[in-house]
Amino acid sequence: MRKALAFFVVAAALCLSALAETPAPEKATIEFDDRAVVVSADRALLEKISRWAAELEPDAARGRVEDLIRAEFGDGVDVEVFETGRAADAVGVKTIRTTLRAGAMDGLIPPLEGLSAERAKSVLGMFGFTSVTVEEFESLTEQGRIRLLAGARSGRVAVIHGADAFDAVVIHLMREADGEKAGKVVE
Amino acid sequence: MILKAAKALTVAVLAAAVLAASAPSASATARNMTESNKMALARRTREVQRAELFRVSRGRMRPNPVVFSRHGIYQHVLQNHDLIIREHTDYFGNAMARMGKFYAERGPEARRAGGSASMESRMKELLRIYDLEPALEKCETLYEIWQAVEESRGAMEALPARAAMAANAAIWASEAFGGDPPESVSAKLEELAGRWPPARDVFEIEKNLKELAEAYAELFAGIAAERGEGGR
Repeated sequence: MRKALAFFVVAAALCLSALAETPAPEKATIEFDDRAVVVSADRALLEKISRWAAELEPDAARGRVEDLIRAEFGDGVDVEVFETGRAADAVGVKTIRTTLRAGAMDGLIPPLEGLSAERAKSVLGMFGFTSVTVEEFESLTEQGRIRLLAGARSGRVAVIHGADAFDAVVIHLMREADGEKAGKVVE
Repeated sequence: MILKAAKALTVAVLAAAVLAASAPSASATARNMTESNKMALARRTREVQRAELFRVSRGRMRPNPVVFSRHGIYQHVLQNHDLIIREHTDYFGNAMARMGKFYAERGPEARRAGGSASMESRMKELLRIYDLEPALEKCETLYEIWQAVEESRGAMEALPARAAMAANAAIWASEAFGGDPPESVSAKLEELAGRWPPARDVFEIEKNLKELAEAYAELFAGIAAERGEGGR
């Protein structure tokens, strides 16, 4: 009995020491202009990643940071990407709530009255809008919505509520100060 | 505020606009269209009332038993010329103010729209609609006179919306074709810009506007389908 207890104590001590020697992965957050990336790796690798990230071109990294990190440092790096609220802020600075007809009268959207969602999408597509139905929009997670709005930075996104003249349309006007084309997000 | 401005504009612009619209030669004189509308209404009402109340039978004038199914309208048309003309002129002023606002706010883009979508063309159309005389000449009954006035009001009420639709459609078509829409598209836009079946009340106005808006949407859906933008 005593021998067994002694063996157990020795085994436990050995295991603990072995665990203590394994370097625990550390986490670091790298912030880009439109998202935050949380990377888990050992300290040495983290330092390499942070030096690499500092030299990264923001435009080159936009939307593909995760892939770039994996390509550069291998699949062993644990990467979690968060599109931050700043992405949404960067996209929509002004929101106008209107209707299909009023929006068309004001020249904000092309005439869509009476068109099915698919045909309305094709018309919007012709004018550079990316469009989804309100059902598709609502089925998106918060992250998905932010991603949709972030996508509108280089164009326009329309979320179609219906085909009636008085169906609501929400328009997010893009920020022109960023030097980007003043796109519109329509909900 | 807008209505006040519209009324002021009405007085100021009427004479000049009428002169421009009805002056093929420099010697033409200005016509006060409000006054001529008023006189035409009074004259035609008098003539029609006589025809409605009497019929010729065997060479003798006899009372014609007119059934006043729309008694209120008959009384109104017979008695309230000043009120009818004043309201009619208010519609004119309101339409002119709304169109002026639209073209001012949409700026050069809207003003570049040609043909029937142009501001000049729309203002001329407004004057043509405002002129009651030709329509009243065709009226044979008091009810038809009332309908003619209502159709004119309805057309004036809808004209700013039609102008906005036409100008915006022209702008979108221009964008879709890089500034040079094909003849078929231009012809269709021209046809839609001039399309307006008579409407005598707000329900008919809304029905017409809905059909017009859907026709514009169909036009663009057709263009998108031709280009293979997808959607059915």
